[in-house]
Amino acid sequence: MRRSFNLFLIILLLTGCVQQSILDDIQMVTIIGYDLPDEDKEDGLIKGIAVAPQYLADGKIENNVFVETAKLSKEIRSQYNSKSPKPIVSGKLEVAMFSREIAETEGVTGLVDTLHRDPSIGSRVFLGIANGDTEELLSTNYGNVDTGTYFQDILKHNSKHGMLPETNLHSFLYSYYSEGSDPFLPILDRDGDKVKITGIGLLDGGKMVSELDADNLFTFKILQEKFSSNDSFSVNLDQDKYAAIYNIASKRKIEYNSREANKIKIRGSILGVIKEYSGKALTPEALKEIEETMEKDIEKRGTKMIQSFQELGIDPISLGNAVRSKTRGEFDRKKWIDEYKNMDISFDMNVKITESGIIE
Amino acid sequence: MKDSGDFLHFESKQHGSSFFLYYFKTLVHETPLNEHILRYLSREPLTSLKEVKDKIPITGIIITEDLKTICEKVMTGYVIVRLHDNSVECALIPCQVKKARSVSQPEVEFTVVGSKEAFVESLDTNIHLVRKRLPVHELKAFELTLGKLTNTKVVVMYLDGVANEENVNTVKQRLKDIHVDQVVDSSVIMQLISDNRNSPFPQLVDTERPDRVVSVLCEGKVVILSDGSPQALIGPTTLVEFFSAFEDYFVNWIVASTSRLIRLFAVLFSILVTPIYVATLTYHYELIPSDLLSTLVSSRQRIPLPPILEAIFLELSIELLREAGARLPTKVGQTIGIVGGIVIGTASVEAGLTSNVLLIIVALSALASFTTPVYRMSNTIRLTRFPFLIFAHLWGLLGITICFSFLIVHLLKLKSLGRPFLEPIYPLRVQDLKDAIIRLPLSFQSTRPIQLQTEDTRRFNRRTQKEKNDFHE
Amino acid sequence: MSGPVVKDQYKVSPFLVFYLVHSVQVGVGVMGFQRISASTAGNDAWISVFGAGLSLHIIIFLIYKILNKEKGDIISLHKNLFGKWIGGLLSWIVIVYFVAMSITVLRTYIEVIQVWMFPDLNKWLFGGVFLLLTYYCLSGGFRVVAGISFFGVVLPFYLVLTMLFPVFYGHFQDLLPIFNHSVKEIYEGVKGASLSFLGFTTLFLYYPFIKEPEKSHRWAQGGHLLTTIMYTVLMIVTIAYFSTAQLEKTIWATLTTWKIAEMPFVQRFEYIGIASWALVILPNLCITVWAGGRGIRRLLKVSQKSVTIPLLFLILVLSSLFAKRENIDLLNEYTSKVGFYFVYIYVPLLFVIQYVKSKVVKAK
Repeated sequence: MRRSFNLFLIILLLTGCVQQSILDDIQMVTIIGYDLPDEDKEDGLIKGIAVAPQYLADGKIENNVFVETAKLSKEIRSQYNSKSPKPIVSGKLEVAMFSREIAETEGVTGLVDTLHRDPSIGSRVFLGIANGDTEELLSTNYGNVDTGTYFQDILKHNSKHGMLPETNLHSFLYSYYSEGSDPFLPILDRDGDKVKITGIGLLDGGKMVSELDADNLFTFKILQEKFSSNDSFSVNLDQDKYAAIYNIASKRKIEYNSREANKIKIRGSILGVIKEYSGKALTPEALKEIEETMEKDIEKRGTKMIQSFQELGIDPISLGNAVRSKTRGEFDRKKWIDEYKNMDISFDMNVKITESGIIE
Repeated sequence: MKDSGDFLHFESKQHGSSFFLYYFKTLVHETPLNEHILRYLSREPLTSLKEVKDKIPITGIIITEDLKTICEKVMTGYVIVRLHDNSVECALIPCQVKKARSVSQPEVEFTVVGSKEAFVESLDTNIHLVRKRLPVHELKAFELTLGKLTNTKVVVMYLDGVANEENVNTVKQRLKDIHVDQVVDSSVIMQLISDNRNSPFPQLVDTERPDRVVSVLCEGKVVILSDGSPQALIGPTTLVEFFSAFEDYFVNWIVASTSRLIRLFAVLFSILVTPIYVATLTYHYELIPSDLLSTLVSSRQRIPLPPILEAIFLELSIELLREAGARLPTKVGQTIGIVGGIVIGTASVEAGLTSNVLLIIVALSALASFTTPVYRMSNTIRLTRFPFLIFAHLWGLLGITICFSFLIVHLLKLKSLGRPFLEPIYPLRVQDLKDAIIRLPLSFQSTRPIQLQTEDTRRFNRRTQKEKNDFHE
Repeated sequence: MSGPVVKDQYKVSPFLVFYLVHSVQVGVGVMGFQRISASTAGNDAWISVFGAGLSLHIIIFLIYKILNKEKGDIISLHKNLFGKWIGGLLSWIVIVYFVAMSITVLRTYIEVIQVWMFPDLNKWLFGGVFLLLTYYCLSGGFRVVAGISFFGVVLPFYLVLTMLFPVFYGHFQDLLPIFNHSVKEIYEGVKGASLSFLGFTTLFLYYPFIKEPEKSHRWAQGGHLLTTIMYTVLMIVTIAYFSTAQLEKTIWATLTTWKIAEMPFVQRFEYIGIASWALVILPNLCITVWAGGRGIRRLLKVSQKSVTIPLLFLILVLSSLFAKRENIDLLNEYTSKVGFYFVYIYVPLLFVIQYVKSKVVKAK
């Protein structure tokens, strides 16, 4: 009995090990990018760019860039491995970027499915659309940082405190599969040795059909979700008079009644603090003026935005879900989009300024 | 016996009558021998041994013909008096020399506050230390002799009417079942009467503090004292008792509970943290947050060994240091500790054999294992780490859980004197939790632990002990 | 009616039934039961889960009615009601069911590990070690089995806290409108949810091992109530976290929700969750194998040790034979179907037959 037990233990130790991935013997890809290959120079259907940081013992970080083209996105990985001294793993992937071309022509569905299927990829992976050349965007060295973490930090703090709505893999999949909502992705571009968020790409299914520029993100976020941020929004009162308002908590309420099925009213409200004011004195009247100007400005932008959504037949602010939650019976997406296009959607904004800084 | 140089035998002829004296000079106290025995024997002629018994002012004189008894007694320091050469009858006069260390400070279980007395090697002194603190006639001391060669006196102490009869009988029965030649220390008894002798876990607590013994006696536990051993054994016990220091009862309950929680955390930390390091670095790189990743990777960049070998190497060197420190005299031991800790640690990091992160982890977990108040338990805890390491290498975190399950099942199966070892956690006895993982105020400790199944469950009336709970006027 | 005699020292206190019932219910099912109920009941799946839970309270009540009258286990019950041969056959079916359940549990867990953690995990070896652990536990008798089920509930309970993370990403309007599905759809959802509730029928075998078994009724109900609440909350969180079509694509919804959990010192919680789940699976396996072994022991009158070892080998071999996803799914489906009928049809039937028979005996 004892001997057989010992034998068992030896077998266990010899054969029991599963494939190891020892931390310093692997290449952890932190950011991955997809682009369409240049038809003249490269063959294959898709080009994949993977960046894996190499941590050196003296604290420096080198970014190893792997570029491959292949027919299937999954083939790319084995091709990376043939070039890499250490096996490539994707468990620490932070960001996945798709080129504008892919997003506009093929759509991102297939590529996202690859990410979704792989159990080693987390739900907090950020997705984004690369403006310009993806390879160039990813292979630029942004200082002594790992490129993936650098991109992640930009997206993370901007969606936590800034004007960007949350766009990680889970949120994307939620809206993608949801009947009453359409996904959107941030657009990033290189600006010298920095990366900049230039806007939001709006998707219908997996394809990008339209985009919003950075100026409209504030309004979009109000329409999209409840948030509070440290970003500011500036209002032009007159030609030389303007005010900047910050530390804003906003709320959004969708009013819909199934009896008046053709009407949706979105009520937004903002609490803000004045950070900058170029006028003379901040009198109550001046405050009132700022509030009203801001209300009007946001309402105008919002209404325009909604109208363009309706024309495109996309629903990134998930009005569909709001309607579905108040409609009995089967909810059909096609029917809903048809209805949505002709709906009377109004946007009403309410701005309240609570503080005006530490001086009057 | 005549071969022994310290065996004395001579004939004394006085007043016409002669008698023989036999004794071991190394076992016999000289002052009573000279002052009482020889003085009385030489004063007037001896006619019978009965006279010896009557005249000599020493109690416990035995008159016997039994050769076996005589042999036994002379070996324990009796003086043998025989009248005529042809008669076998002898008088045995107890005259043992009682040489023992005087009562000194506890060294293993030292506490800042509280009694500074510790048990010594003399059984009688030890019983005296207990009786002094517990002057009631219910305190029973059942005595028996163990060991074919050593003939060690062992005493089972318990409070009659409090301690469960069954527990006492279990102890007595198990002691009687011991058939070995030598019982040199109570630790030997502990190994021999444990419920599961193949378990690395001690199933009886040993202590050198008489006050702790008294306290557990009052709870209704059974205590075993053995001659020649400064350690008393306490049973039945539970796992959590090994992590409660006696000092916990000397300080406020909040402080005591905190330190108990810290100790339990330290145990878990000590067992699990190196295996978790091995598991995450070998398999689960996904778990490590990005910020920590660069630190870990760059610290391991130059190390040729896989994490498991790295960890085993460091763990073994810590064990070596501890073992070397324990075998050497105190002062040299300290030096070894410092030299080993600093020199070997720094050198192995610089040589690229281990990463500095692991060095910190291993050192901390070694430190954590020493917070356990009972020395035996801290040995067990350090040992437990190794199977965890192997399982962590095999299946990562999954292996750790499986090893942990083995540990839990093992602990579930353990018993201390037939009582469940994991009580009060399993079987869950909420009432006993008052003095387990945390220690509640003394006014809550009005009942004895259910685990002991004591005959008298109530220690004191809680209501009379309760403080008045009202606002000051 | 003579039940089996169990010595007092091997019995466990009634409140442990709480853990025995709860721990045998929570097993592999909870990792992905959401998809099955949601595929028919959609956003009303939580009602299905809640409904399944509530209806099983009645079944537990019936089981206690039967056993309190019988004062024994299902083996003696079968023998008394149906005679030696038919009763014995029925008992064997029940035993096979329990063994099949343990195979399902072990195989599904190994599958989860293979898919999520170690694709090249040797299922023979891992199964062997896990069953060795089971054997080590079973060799301590029922007291240790109850103990491990206690720890199997208490220790991994911290995982409940991780359900807070998906709440932050929850779209709770997805739950509205309530009762948007027909009764039939919701009923289908109940059927789908029932697999994750099964296993408490092992009560039929360990009943004689409980001290004052009548008193354990409320504990059994309590354990089941905890399961019901847990599952319902989990279902609500899942519905809010996923969109409907997304949930239908997700095989292991609970594990997927863990992917979002993140703490300063640890990311990707699903790996910790799956590893900790071994502590949840162990009591599951222990109780079902114990029940199977106990049943065979009672029928063949042999020692439990000589039954358990071959039984464990059988489980290892059979569970390793299932290799593909579809086969494992099929296994899961059949066990849950059998379990469903066992619980909802056979138990009430037993109750009626026992009732009628006792009336007839009285009339005579």
